Amino acid sequence: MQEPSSTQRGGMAAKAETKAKVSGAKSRTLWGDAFKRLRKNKLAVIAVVWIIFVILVAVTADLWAQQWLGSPTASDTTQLATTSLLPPSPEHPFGTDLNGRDILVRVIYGARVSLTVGVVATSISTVIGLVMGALAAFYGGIWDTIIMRLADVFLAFPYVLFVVAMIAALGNGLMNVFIAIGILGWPSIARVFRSAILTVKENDYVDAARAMGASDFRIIVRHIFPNSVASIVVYATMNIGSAILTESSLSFLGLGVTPPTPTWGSMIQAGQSYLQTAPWMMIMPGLAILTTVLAFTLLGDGLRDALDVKMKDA
Amino acid sequence: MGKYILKRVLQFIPVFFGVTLILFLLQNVVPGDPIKMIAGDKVLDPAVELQMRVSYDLVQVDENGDPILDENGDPVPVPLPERYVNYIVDLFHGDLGRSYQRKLPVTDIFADKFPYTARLAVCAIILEAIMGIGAGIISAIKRYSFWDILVTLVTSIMVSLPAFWLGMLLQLFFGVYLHVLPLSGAGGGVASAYPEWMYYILPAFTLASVSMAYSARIMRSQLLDVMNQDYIRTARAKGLSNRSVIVHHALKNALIPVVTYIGVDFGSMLSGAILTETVFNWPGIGYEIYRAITQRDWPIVMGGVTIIIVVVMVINLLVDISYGFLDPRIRFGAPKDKS
Amino acid sequence: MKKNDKNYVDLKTQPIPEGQHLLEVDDLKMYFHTEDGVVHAVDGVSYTLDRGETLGVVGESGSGKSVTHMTIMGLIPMPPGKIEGGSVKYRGHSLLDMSEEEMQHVRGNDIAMIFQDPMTSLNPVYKIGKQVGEGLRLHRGYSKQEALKRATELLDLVGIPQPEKRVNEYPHQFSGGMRQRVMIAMALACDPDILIADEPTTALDVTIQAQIIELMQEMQQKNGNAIVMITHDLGVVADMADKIMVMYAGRPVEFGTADEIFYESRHPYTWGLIRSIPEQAVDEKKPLTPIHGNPPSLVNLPAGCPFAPRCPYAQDICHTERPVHHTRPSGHYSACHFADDDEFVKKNAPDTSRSRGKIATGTPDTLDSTSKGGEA
Repeated sequence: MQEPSSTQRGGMAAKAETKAKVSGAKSRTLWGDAFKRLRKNKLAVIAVVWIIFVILVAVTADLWAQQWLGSPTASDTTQLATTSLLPPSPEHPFGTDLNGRDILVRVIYGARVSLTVGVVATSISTVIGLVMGALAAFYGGIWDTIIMRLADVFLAFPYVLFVVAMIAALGNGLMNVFIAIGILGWPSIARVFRSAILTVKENDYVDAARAMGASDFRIIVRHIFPNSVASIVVYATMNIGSAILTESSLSFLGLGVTPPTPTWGSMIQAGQSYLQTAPWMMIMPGLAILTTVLAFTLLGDGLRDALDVKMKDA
Repeated sequence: MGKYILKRVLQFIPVFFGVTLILFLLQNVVPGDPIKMIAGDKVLDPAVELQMRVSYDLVQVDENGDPILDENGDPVPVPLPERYVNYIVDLFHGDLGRSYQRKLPVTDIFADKFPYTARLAVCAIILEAIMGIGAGIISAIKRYSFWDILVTLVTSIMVSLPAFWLGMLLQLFFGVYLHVLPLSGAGGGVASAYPEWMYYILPAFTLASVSMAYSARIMRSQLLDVMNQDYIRTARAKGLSNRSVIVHHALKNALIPVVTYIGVDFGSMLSGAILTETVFNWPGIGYEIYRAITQRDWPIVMGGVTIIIVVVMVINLLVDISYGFLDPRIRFGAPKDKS
Repeated sequence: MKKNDKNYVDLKTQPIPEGQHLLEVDDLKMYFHTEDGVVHAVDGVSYTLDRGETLGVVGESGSGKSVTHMTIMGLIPMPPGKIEGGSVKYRGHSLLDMSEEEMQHVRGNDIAMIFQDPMTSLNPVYKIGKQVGEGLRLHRGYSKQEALKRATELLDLVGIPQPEKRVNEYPHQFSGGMRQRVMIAMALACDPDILIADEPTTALDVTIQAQIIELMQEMQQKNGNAIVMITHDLGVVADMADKIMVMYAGRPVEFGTADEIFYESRHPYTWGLIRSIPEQAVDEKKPLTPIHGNPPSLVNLPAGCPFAPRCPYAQDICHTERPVHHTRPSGHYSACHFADDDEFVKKNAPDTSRSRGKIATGTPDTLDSTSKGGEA
């Protein structure tokens, strides 16, 4: 949530900070200061701890989860009478689903899908966004018009529907989820990078670099990117959260990653029919989504404040 | 003002063609072949497939309506640009293709669903406006108070949870445990246990939740921003009370961007409907799309998506134009920046 | 919006108690308590003002001249601001002790204020007529029609052509100079005793600046109100002010009549300001002398005289001891350790033994007052 800093009157210090940020040469202290400020932000610290925890659990799951909780995909159909739809218990902390599979282990394996989609889709968005934003800002004119119009076109699409249409066209599969969500995220990153470049471009050191004969590519990579990286990091962090949310919507609708691979969205979908008898089936994966996305949102907020990035909209 | 409207309409045209082109490409190029998408996993009899190609205008036909064959006996495909032109013409005629599986035009399938979606979206917009703006105002006026922190917290959670999951939690709490609100459906039948309006509460709230959170945040930051403006100081210097300053001078300025956001948001309401309607078995477009997804009936999915997207684009245009009526700076042709 | 309290008696109709002034500010202190520390924004301001008088308040940005008057108007949000001492008496009534509601009666009615940037000081979504008439509806209980009618007259009075048409226009349809005229009309709507003008001409073109100042003086002659003219430009007040207060780092460093400030100044900072008036330098073919350095941060003020780090004459004592006000019999005071040292003053003060008109950057004599309004 954006708001004017409460210390408007401590003007001198704030100004000095902005200077340090713009000058680029002091970027090390920028990140150092940002890290210090981030550490003071309790919510952001909790978010980081949670994200690291979720990543560790997801990455190491093969080593311990199945021995403890059983397979996330296969089910023993002969035992269903005694294993199906069990409420949470010490043996099955999150309960079991219709097929008698442990929900905790499915949530853990679902984290793999969610995190992968979040990171890969965001990477795709970021790369496309950076290239588009750089083209638009640096070459201006007709490039700028075309790319920004294209961004308008993409933003005019209702997000979820667009992803649905993409998957409908591309077909199911994890790769297609990456592509569909990744392609859709670029306009906001492109806009951020574009305006960051336009701001930085005004600075004398870019003219100076150009006067010394640096190529456009070199100027972008060496001079502009380091100065825009703060806002890109903030947007990308927040984007991971929304990519995870979008994936969960897709798998809730039965699109994208196909069964039996567990995803949080499809687990919630499966739980819908047993809302009255086995609510834990949908509650647990939902909590996983909530906490993970919230962690990325809070981390994004924290980074934004720590790096002093101005966001256009809330 | 006329110039402003004209400008908006002119800006709308490339966006419209861009969006429809993308939808067209998604149906015709991305899957490799539209027939493949329609058929899904099924293997088609060549004769049936040819007939389909004819009926979908994918191949050139002679005056009798029979496909023209080339020297190898293969049908001659209609070139892609021509197909796009046909697609646009069909779109303007309200022709969105046919469901292969249900043998029905897509528009027929959606015709009686649209009012349900529209009504739900309108309810959600009203909820969003009242609750979002209200929460934002309280949060800004009582800055750093308990209420401000509460609003901040709740909005953070609301934008971080999947709306469909929130819908199910609401069903669980109000429907399953408390039995005060209906679980699902749109009511209206003879057998419904609750008055019809009660069926709207949970879906409308679910649909509105994310936007509500965003509009509360925007309202808060806008109001705080406006309260720092010079003209607020002027109003205070005139001797207006704090309340008058907020009600008469700050709110109108702060509301302009929020109202714009809410207007544009009607689009995300319609698209969010696909998830909300699925959760609540709401007989609207979204639920129909979901059903089509489960049946792999892609023409319906694409048709539904197209309907919503076109409606959303038109609404966005109207909102943009009405924005001009709200803000005198635009109405009288002044630049929109400055203060 | 209207005040229901019909029995309320305007303070401006009450007599000034014997031996007191219209406005008496005495050792006013207001600090901001921020996360970065305590900002000594207003630190011991004292002056008096009578009807018909014009006080010029001069200082660099951040010297506290605006904040002082925002404090007097009760426009500083508290917290983070806090009154740390002193008093403000208007016709014998202590403004600092008034409730918010009482202050609302004073603001715009008894004491009005206009601001630096007319482009942003008017509400963009309301018509000019409504904004000008708002004070009348509030303080005088005018009806909508009455207020609009009076607003039209006021626009006419401040030299806005076609007032009947322009009351129904929006701020963005006005030029900068016209908007400042609107601001003046708005401020004068309720015939205030005191008009506080916070850099009213800074944001305007030079030619229009002169018109606005002239307009304010003209209005003052008609209404007999006092004016507090806040500016960073000593030249602006040279012509119009009766008294001048020079502020630095939240403190008044010198206060006296305009003549005393220009010809008998006893403070190095005032000297610096006089030396940096461009016209003087041009006239005398002397180089323009800037004051080097920047004003200090108001959080960590130096122990001694706040001006010492930039003062070319600073001695050891200046860095260690805060100077007191050295007051002369006329009431002219200077916060400099050497203010009473005639030799020091004589040796270092700028030579200002010429006519004041030359120093002033104010209105060129040739400017035709009837040409106002031509810029709309």
